[in-house]
Amino acid sequence: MRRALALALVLAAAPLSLRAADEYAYDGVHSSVGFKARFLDISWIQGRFNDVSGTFVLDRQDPSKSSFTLSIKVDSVDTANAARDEHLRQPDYFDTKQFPTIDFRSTKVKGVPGGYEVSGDFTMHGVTKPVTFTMLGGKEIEAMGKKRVGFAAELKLKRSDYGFDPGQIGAIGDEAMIIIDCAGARD
Amino acid sequence: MPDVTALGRAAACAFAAAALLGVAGLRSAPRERSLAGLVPVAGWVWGTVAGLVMLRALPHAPPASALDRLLLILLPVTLAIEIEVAGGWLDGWLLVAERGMVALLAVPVLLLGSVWMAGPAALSLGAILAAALFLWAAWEGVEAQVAATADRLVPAVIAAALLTAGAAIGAGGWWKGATVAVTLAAGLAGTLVADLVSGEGRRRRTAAGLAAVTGIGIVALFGCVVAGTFFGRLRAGAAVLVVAAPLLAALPAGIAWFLPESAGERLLRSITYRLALAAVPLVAVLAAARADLEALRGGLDRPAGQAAASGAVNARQCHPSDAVAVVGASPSPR
Repeated sequence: MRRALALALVLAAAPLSLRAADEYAYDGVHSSVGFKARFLDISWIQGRFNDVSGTFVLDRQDPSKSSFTLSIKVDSVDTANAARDEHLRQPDYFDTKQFPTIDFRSTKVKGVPGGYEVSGDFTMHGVTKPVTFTMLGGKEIEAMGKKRVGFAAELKLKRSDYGFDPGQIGAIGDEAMIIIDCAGARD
Repeated sequence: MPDVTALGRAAACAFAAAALLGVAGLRSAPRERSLAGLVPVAGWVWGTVAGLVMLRALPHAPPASALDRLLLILLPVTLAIEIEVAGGWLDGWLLVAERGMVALLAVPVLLLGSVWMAGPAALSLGAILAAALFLWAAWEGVEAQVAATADRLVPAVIAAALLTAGAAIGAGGWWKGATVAVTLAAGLAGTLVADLVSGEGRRRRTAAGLAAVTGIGIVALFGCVVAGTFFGRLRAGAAVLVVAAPLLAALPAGIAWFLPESAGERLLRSITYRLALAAVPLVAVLAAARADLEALRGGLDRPAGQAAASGAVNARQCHPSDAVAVVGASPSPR
């Protein structure tokens, strides 16, 4: 009798545990991945990548089971100047024919007040390095027929750490900031 | 923006280093032809490395980019083959097989891991085989002619073609690609000047070395052009013209000898014909490169919103199928 009761409880809890991890697809319409870097150390140049995809798996009961992946098509770089965009695609900068994507894949997620602390492998320009940053947000709402969640994060990195040509680090500073404001959606 | 003065200094350094080593090497070279033949090859390598060190443009290891693979894999393998040629230690079918292997692997090595290798397999394979056949035939034919005639015009045109390729690649916005091509050109020019000022007696001993330098030059030019086309914004038409220049300089070498003139006149006329044939495509590429550079500079200086409207620069993706973009045309709508 006790065994049957335990089995019934487990079976009843199963849908809850399945629901605990929700998978969201990156919502390209309501998201942006931008960047900025110093220009001649006097001002900032800003740009964005227009073609991004990814998924967020959020386990609100056990955040360590959550995961984040993001893939950016570097050819979609957009700095509001077509000549500069073409220049950035070349091997002196992103070398988009050799390294067509920038990828992030989380390896460890921890719940923190207001969001998640995410550690993972960040691959850019053919070099993979571990990074840790905070993704603020994660509250789910229902709108326009879908369940939606949003995050904001900033990631600071050095281009020289990712194999960018040191000869081209000068006019555009070594340090760059990646600004992620993204939304995810699920049915 | 690129530092043209620094590139000029590095090119001068590459030229001087190659020339000095060439002159010193040829003056003290042993009478044995196999060792004397190595002097021009050593001079070019030394000059190129000196120029790249000065520019801090040395390749990264392990090689991740096309330029790294050109400098760390393709050219060293070619160098190893040509050292054997310069020393007279390799000929016959073994030489043909080694060159054929390098020619076959040149394009896959340069494009390794890039988006180009992910294309339709049949198309990629066909293009690679065609490129390999072309490289092998040019390498064999031109070098055999230089070896037979101790012809210095062909390697000189290869140096000019490398310089032109560097200018066109740089004008498209790939500065490091330009620096490598220009440094290779300067080192080769220094080697040729050293050979020229060393006297006829010494030059005869280095004929095999000159042929080896020509062979390395063909592969270096091919590699720069392939990298510039597939990874930079070198137009396919410009690439064809740059590679054609040394072939045009080599092809009619014997034609003028059938003209009814004295030997001196025939020689002069032959050199004039060949120089003119080689110069035409290079001048056309340089003119187009200048227009491209002006378009790029204009586009970079134009505030947001105006660049696209003006049509001076669009989001042209450099694709080898862009063969219709014949050089000499107006820079727009590039």
